[in-house]
Amino acid sequence: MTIYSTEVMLSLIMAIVFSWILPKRLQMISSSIITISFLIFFDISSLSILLFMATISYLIPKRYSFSTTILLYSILVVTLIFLFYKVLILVDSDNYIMPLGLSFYSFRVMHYIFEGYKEKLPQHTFYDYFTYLFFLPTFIVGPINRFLQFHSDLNSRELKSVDISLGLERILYGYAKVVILSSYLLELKLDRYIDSIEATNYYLYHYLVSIQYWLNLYFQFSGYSDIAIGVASLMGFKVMENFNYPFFAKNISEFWQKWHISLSLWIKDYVYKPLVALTRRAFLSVLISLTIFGLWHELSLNYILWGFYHALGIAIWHKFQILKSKYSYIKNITDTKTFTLFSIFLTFHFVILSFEIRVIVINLLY
Amino acid sequence: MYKFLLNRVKPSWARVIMSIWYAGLIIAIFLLFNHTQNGDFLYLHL
Repeated sequence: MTIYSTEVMLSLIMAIVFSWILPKRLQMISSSIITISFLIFFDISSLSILLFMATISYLIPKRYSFSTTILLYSILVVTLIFLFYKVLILVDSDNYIMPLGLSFYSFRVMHYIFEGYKEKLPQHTFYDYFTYLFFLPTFIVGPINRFLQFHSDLNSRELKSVDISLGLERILYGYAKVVILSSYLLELKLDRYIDSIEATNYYLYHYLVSIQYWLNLYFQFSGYSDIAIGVASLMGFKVMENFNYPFFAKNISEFWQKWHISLSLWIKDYVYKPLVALTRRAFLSVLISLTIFGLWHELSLNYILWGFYHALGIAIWHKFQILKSKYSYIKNITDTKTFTLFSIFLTFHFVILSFEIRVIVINLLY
Repeated sequence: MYKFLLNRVKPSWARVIMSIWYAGLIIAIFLLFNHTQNGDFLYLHL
C-alpha cells in the first residue's frame, strides 16, 4: 500500500474530520476504529494480539497495584510477544508477517507500564489508553509518542487556525520528501545512474548505493513522521519530533540525538539510564542500548554488529572529548569552522558506511 | 510568503490563505508524481 493510495488518503481525512464533527465522546474513538479497520483488512490476528497487550498492560497494574514484580512480569509478557514474532519472521519470513505496527505499539505499551510503575501517569480511563495506542497518525510508523502528552492534548485540544496551517505545512513537507525526493529522485532517477556505473566503477558504485540507501531511508522515514505530526496537529495533538537534520550532526553522539528521536529517547529513558545506574559503566550501557536499538529493527547478527559499531564510535568520540579537555591545542584545532565541516563529513560517512562495514565483517567471520 | 501576507491581510486570513496554498501543493504533488508509485510505507512498520 502506498502513501498516496486512496484508502490511506481517505482514512486520514476521515480521522481528521471525525475528530472534530462527531459528538465529543465519539471523536477520538473514531480514529481508533479506522486504525482497527486497517488491522482487520490486513491481518486480523494482529488485532487480537494488540488488544490482548492493551488489556493486560492496563488491567494487571490496576488490579494488583504496581510492584516491581508486576512491572517485571508485564514487561516480560510484552517483550516475549514482541520477540516471538521477531523470531517467527527470522525462521520463516515467507509464511509469517509481523503484526501491523507491533514494534512501535509494544514500545508504547512498555512506556506506559514504566511510567505507571514510576507513578507518573495521570488519572485516566481505558478509553484514553485505548485511543492512545490506536491513534491513527502514529500507529504504523511512529513517532513513539508519549502517553502524558497525548492525555494532556486529549483533554485540552481545540481547533486553531495556527495548527491547521502548521499541520498542512508539515504534511506538505512529508509528501515532498516521500514522493519527490525519495521515490522520484533517489529511487527513479539516481537509481538509473548508479546502475549504469556498476560495471565500470565498482567502488564508486558501492559508495553511491550506501548514500542512496541512507538518504532514501531518511527521506522516507522523516517524511512519514512529518505526515504523522501534521495529521496529529490537524486533530489537535502535539507529537514529538522524530528527526532533526541528522546528517548535519557533528559527531556520532549528536547523530543519535537527531535520528529517530522518539526511539532514541525511549532507549535512553528505559534502557540506558537504568543500566548506568545499575552497572556504573557508561560504555557497557551504550553498547547494550545500541544493540537493543539494532535488534528492534531485526533479530540478526547483522544488527548486533551494527549496534557494536555505533557503540564503538560513541566510545571513541568520548575518549576524544577527554583528550580535548586535557590538551588545549586539540581544542584550538577542533573549534575551527573547517574542523566542524570535517566532523560533519566524517560523521555522515561513519553512518552511511555502517552497513557496508558490517557486511565486510560478516564476510571475514564466515 | 506568510510574512508577505501579514503585511497585507489580517493574521487569521494569512493563515487561511497559507492553508489553502499548502493543500493545493499537496494535491499538485499527488497529481504530478503519482506515477512513481514507490512510496510503500508498510515495510517501515518493522
